[in-house]
Amino acid sequence: MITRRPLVAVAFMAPAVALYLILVVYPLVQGLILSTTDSKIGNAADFVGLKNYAALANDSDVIRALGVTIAYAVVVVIAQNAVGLALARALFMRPRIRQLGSTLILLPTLMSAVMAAFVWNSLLAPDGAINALLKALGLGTLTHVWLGDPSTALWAIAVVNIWMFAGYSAAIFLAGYMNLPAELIDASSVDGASGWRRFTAVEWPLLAPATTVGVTLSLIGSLKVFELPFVMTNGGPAGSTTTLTMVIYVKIFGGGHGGFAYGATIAVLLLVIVVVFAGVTQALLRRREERI
Amino acid sequence: MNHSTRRIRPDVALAGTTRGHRARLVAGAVVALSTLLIAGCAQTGTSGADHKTVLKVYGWKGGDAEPANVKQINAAFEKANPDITLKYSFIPSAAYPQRVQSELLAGNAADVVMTDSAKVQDWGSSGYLENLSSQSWVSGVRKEIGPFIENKGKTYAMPMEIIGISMFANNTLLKQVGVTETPKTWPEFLDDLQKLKDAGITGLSLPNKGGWTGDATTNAIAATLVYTSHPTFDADFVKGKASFSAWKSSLQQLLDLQSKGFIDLKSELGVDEWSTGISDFQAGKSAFYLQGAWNQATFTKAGLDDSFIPWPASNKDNAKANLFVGTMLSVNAKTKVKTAAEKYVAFWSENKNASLYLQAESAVSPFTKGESPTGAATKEFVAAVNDGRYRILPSNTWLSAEGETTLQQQVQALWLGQQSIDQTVKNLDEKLKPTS
Repeated sequence: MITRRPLVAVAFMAPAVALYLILVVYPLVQGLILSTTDSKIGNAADFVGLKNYAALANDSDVIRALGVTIAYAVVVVIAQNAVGLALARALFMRPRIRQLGSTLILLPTLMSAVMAAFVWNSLLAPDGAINALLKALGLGTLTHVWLGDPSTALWAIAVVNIWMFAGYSAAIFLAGYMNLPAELIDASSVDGASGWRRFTAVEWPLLAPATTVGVTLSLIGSLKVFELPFVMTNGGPAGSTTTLTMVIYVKIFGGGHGGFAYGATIAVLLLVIVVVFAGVTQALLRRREERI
Repeated sequence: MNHSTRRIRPDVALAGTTRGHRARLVAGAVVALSTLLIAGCAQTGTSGADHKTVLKVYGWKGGDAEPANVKQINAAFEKANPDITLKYSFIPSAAYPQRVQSELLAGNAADVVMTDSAKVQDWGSSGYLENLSSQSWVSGVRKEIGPFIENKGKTYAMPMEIIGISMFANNTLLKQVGVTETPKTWPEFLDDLQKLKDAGITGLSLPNKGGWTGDATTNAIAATLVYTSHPTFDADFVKGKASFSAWKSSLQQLLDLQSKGFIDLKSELGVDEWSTGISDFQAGKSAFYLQGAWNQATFTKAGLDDSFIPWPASNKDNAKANLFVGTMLSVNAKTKVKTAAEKYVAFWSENKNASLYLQAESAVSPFTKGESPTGAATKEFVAAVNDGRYRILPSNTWLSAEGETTLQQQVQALWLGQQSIDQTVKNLDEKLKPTS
């Protein structure tokens, strides 16, 4: 019917396309246009061409923040999905507590990032609960100024991120587990595969679709991280936790230096990075799915 | 076919009406919607019912943490202007730029918005703030404050205060070690810290997780060590005629405190200056501390016996007060109630109203004939200002919010031992130099 009446098809698609153009394409184009101006704020600006993009290449703060962001994303994606997978498997193997467990592990995800940051700020303070616990366990030598040391601050934030979203990853993997063909699991048991062997030979390959979703979503989320470093360290100490989103924030809302357009330029860079990284990752993981 | 799916619910009985009845209902709905829209539009402007002008104001002062007598002043304004209904919205400072800047861009921000020098530069120069140059209070503003409220010769804000960022001293702890007067010189300060250390009392705390305290302390020291001999440093730096090498002794002073065992700067990087630092000092956990004068009201309320003093950086009794041009009021260029908005701003410039705010903030008046309230805790600091011993932070030039972030990171790197003082000043010269 629709193939015979293309205008009907267009009419059905028009609202969705219009919404997409207005809500997605238009702001993107506006952002791109803004990045080619010298705007201090808003539309009062002159066209400067690619000057802002040229400045990016020599901006050591942006280059450093890019490195911090990528390092953070790599660690978070691997650790968050590993923990999520372990949690999902534990719940899959224990049907009695599965429902309650899957609800409980999602609780940190439901917490606002700002609230989680404040709670962990307090736990990670020099006289906070974590150092107090280490002392109580006789491990006083391991106490540390977690958020004040550049060698630990970023990873302390990553731990909070993993704590928040491992349950989310677990929910994705658990959904994957629930879709595993029961006969395959049974057959592997009959063949004597159990534990680690069953996981590597049967479960892990069959969880490929869940892995694609989990890795892609956590990659996008961690590349765009903002609230946690903003509240927990304000990008410090000495810029060691300054992510690209924080540089964008300072440029756009920093005031006085007219960095609004430059902030938009960095935002375009971040968008490209997220699209490229997520696109490549997804393509590789999809190819893996097809191979399996 | 399931009969229940065809059941007509009473709340959607429109389908069962006649065409004429439906038309009347639609017309009624249109009228009702129009009335609602008009009422909505009247949120700012003149309300229909009592012909009062509704004036919307945004500010980051006036919340529970810093009431700053804003409610009292607003009540006085409404009493003095019975034809104006004031709607003051407190927006936390951390969320202020995101919300207000976006609303200014969208054209629906409040009629009067609280600003500071950085916002005046960006919002004023981009046409989002009303030019207030013709207002009567402009001529009364202290001359040195002009550059902070102006852009290209036009005045975009009424300054509300000049506020100190300096050292607090816990008098009770000092008395415990036999110190009856706050230090006025560097040797006196070191002597006090030694006595406190000997008594097992934490002498100085500079919580610096977010970087603010490190930058503020360096500036408070530089107020004396740099600006006494080079009062035009800020202007000269912007012109490329001065270098941060003049700040070496200020940066060194903090490292000296560490080498003498009075503070562990690395540990201070793990303590949050806002959530932990203030409450710790209030709880008497250290004798000296650096923060903004706006905290004095909280300390007084908590019953703390303290003094707010210039950082005693020099060997002579000539410490300078470190001042910051704080909050300001600006008028949204798109306001529909310009007269009321200007009236509100002018009201805040009057001595009797401004003094309530200045009292709560422990701040200094930005007007030549303004009254600067003095309390027991702040008398030494205000005396330094009245004596002409002060320096104003250049928040309109190299120490804008972005510049401040740079200074914060550089000072943190120095405290961590990641770089030398020479490297720090070199980085500051490079990163803070004017871009255009």
